[in-house]
Amino acid sequence: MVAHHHNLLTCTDFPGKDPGEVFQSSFRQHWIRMLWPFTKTSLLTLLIFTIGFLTFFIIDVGQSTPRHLMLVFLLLFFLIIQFEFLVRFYRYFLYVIVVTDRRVHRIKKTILTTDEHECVDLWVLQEIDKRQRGPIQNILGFGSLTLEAQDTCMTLHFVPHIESRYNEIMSLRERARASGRRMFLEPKQ
Amino acid sequence: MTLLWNILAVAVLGITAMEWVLWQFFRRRAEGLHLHLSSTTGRRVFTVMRIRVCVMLHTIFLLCMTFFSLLFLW
Repeated sequence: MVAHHHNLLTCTDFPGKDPGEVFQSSFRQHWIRMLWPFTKTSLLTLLIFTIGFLTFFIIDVGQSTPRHLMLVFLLLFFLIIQFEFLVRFYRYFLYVIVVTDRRVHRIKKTILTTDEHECVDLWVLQEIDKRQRGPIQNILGFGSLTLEAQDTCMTLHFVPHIESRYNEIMSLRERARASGRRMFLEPKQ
Repeated sequence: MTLLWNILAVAVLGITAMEWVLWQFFRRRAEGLHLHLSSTTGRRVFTVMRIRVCVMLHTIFLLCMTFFSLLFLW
């Protein structure tokens, strides 16, 4: 069972993976990241409904051409807002952090324009900082992780279950350092 | 009345096409991010299915809103 699970972890593939790397875990940003886009879309949709209600039922634009124009304009505005939210929704799922036994990969894509892949070696990490500020971050258990190496610094915002992620990366770093040291100390045969 | 049906047809086709194109782009971009990670626990496959269901519900919502608002308020 353990061997089977290990095999699955080894086989788990993602863009930019080294053949020797073993996948450990992956996560996206906390769902709260989508709260503002969702609220904005809902508020704007509500605004359109209110304008529509006022225009067609209270003021009652009787003439046919202004009524049709108003309806088409409101509908277009509604669709633009909805599609903008949909693109934002997709973008949320295209931002993935993958942790392997050797590296932390940050894969950030958008539907059309962006395709970024940043990774940092675990064994060279000098500092791993966890930052949770404010009551909301502490209650919902998310925050920012800063991974600092000598010449690179990777900041991961809105990390969910930050406590366990922090502990996982810390233990993986120690393991990566220990295996690196062992390889260095073992005589070549 | 013909104008209404023309607008309705354009709107329905446009919404469906837009949703389909965006989904195709997303699937292509997400390849290797959510589909391949499925082999560990199966959770990622479920995630993709969940996204698909959400998008389909969103499409139905947009189509219904467009269809009924045009039909009743025209």
